[in-house]
Amino acid sequence: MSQRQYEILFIAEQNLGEPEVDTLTATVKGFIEKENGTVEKVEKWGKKRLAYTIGKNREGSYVLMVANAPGSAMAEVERRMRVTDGILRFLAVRIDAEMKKADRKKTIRGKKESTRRASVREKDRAFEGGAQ
Amino acid sequence: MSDLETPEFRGRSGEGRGPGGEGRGGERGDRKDKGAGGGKGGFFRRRKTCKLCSEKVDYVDYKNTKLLLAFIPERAKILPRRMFGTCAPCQRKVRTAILRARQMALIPYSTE
Repeated sequence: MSQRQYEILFIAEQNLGEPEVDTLTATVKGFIEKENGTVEKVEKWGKKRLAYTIGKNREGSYVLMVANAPGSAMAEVERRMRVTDGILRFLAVRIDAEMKKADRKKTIRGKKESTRRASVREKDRAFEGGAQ
Repeated sequence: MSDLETPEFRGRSGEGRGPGGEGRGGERGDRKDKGAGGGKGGFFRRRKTCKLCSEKVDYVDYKNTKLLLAFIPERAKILPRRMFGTCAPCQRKVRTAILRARQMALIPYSTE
């Protein structure tokens, strides 16, 4: 099955301390690994104020993960996350396609920059030639 | 004519928005001055350009609240394209990013 890259961000409840958040992160990691996925990166943002209250929580601990897993596995991971206590909210976004697109754009731009100036100059010259 | 002007001005546009009847940079500025002073009828508005394209943002990340907040007024509503001059593809990206950020409580849905 083809592996895809996902970015999972979840918010842990505000009454959870750092060790609890760590165990929660580990369980989520376990969900992914159980489904033959790999976790590439875990990034803890720490406690942040929420833009609005979610069920009496004014703040929450954000954890960001980047995982490689097939799409069907993510469905299961999401289902499990939904029933896990302590997770206020989560969002899993597939990023491989977007990143590829962005990279391609970047390389195209790199090439263009070098050729653009030359072509503009050439066109200008042609225009002036035609006007005379 | 337009294809002579585009590479220099619009740089990397690719959106092909509007008629290509715009003058060169300097002239455009002059015209604006005249239009504003002339009063009747000829009100010339400077065309807004897509900020994201000109700043070369390839991926609009929902986690980048700093960028998204630039597109969100006080009321926290998503404003239409005509307010910011973003091109259609960019507006779409901004929109999805805002929706995601809202879901994750990074950005408010509304402010009172």
